Amino acid sequence: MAIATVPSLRGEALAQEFEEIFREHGQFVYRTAYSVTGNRPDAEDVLQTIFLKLLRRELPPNFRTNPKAYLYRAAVNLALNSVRSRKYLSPMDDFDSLESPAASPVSDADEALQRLLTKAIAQLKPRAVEILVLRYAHNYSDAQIAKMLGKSRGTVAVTLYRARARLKKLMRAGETL
Amino acid sequence: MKNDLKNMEEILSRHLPLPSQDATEEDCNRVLQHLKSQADYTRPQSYAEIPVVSVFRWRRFVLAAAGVVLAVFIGSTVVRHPSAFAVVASVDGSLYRVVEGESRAISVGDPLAKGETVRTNGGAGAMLVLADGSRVEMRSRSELTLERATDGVRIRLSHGGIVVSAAKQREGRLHVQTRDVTVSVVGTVFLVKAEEEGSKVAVIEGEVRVLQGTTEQKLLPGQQVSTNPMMQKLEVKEEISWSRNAVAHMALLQQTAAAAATLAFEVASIRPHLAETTDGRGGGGGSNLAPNGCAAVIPTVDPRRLAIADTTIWTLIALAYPYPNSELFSACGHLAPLNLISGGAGWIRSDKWDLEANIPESARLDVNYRPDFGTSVPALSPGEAAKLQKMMLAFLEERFKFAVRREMKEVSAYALTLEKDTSPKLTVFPWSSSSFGASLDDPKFKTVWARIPSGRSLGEGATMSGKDVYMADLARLLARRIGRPVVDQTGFADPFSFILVFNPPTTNNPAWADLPNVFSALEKQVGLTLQETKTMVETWVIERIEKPSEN
Repeated sequence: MAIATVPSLRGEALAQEFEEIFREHGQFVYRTAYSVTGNRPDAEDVLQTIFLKLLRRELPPNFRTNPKAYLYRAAVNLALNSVRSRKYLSPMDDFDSLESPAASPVSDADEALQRLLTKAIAQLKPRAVEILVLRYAHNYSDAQIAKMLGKSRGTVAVTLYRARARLKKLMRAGETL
Repeated sequence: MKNDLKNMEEILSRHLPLPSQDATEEDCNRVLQHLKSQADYTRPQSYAEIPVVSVFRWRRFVLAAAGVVLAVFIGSTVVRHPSAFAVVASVDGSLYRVVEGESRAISVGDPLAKGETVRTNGGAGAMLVLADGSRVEMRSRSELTLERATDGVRIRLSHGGIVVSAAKQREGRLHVQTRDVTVSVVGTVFLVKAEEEGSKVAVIEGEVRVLQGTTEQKLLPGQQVSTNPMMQKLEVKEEISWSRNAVAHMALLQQTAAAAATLAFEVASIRPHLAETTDGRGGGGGSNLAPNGCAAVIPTVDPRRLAIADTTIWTLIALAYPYPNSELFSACGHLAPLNLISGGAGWIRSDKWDLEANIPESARLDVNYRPDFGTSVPALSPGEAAKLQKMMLAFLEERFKFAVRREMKEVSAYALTLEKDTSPKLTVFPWSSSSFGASLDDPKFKTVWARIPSGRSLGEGATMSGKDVYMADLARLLARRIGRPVVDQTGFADPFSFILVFNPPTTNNPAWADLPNVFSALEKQVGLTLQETKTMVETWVIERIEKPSEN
């Protein structure tokens, strides 16, 4: 990763700028991460990791040109890493879940489908996930996605079509396992 | 469910996980408060955290220094609570004290008494420091109890994972106990994991005794044991990947593992070079001695043999320096402009020697010979090159009484970066003196390009080129021309080809005056940028070197 310092900002100004960026994009990053990981602790982890980098002034050169796009891509990538590394984690009680029951209870079937979907999404290419999550988690139109990610509308539409087809295949394979 | 799959639009719309607004706000606020409490808006950029690609050894020393700072902080924390059994040194997320089945949040600086149970939640981690200075890093979703044992301290790990950096115990031992295993140490770094199906112990540094039932076994760095063979098998580096200090632990592990298995030549002879020496396989080294003491050599490298003729000890020292370099035998030329090695008597840069060495079977080199303009040069992978570097260092230490003082220095450097989602481009800068012609379609270009072997990088005069090379090769070439370390931060891992035409910064040739400078040329011709940065490098100051005794 490239590093760029923020030489002009120190003390209060930097604290204020950091908080402004967090308030502007934090929830967007969190929702993105949640839609990929499917759980609060992992989404919180992703959010914290990304903004910790920001706090440490580990900003890539292109951060300032489009902070939202950068944070979004980082959120998708980190969230995917988190899901993909789950196979290394031991099944554990989730203290957060024990302490605060799920906000929106879902049926077993729905939950199973959601897990299957999360697993399948983790097997897609990050670029496809970026587009997929913008569409279905953030309700962006093709044109909005194209603008944010710097792609053509055609590319967005084709990627979405292929991603859905791939997801269908992956979920069917997942079901039969 | 199969029917549902027919309509992926609907599935995605209905089943893509989405958090409630309350949960979003709650978690975001918690993270913001946590980050604000950790923030130091005035501290300078931490270069220790800059990812320095392929310079693992350089990092080790930076991290060691960071460890000293951490140790000082922890020491002062414990002193503030002289009666505490342990103190919370840092928390990422939430840490709880379990009292009569209830969880109560605790924070940094809080003391922990004997018999107390603490646990981390999902996505959290924490560092505790015991009264003896031992550090216990807790993974997320872990729970442990601190107890006094008859001969020291006991950490009872109910579930989760911990990495323990045990301080040297003055008397007694530090024990970690899970449901089915007890680990005892007197001063070391190790990991313990307690899961439903069993426990796992992995050693990073030192020696650990693991007691399972009546069976006791000893583990050394890099070794691990699990109480249930059905547990998933992961390498130690994967087991500790969750740790905030994973890089430091890995460096430690590599260091201790390397020390355990010292690499050395089996037999080696070093003789003053005689001009008339002719050895059919003598390495084919030329007598090209540069003013900086580097001898241009193309040695003979077989899996079990190394021969370098007509070389200087300075060149051999550069071969021993841990420089990430796939073109190992040009190490001296690359290192000299960076001034990473200094000191030593004059003869090491002027006297010529012939080296013949046998490589032990256990360190057998995987050598490829790469066609290179009608001849062939040995090519080693980075891992193989590192083996040779270690053997060369051991040889110099033994035969030349070579001793260096290693120092970490923060130096000005350049970071090589590439715009996200792009690849380096191959273009031809139209310059009349260039051997590459005017464009990629120019027959002249095609003829010249066809002659360049794949995997070869070249840097001469005002041009620099590479065919199917890696970013590290370009970074090294640039470093040599610019005279500063160039840190590859592109993240681009594939081979690529490039041609760069520029006015070299260290020369003053009027014929090149109109050419773009290296920064502009890189950006326009290859699509890469160079940005000023700082980096930590390991420098060698030669403290001792003597001419060798008879073979």
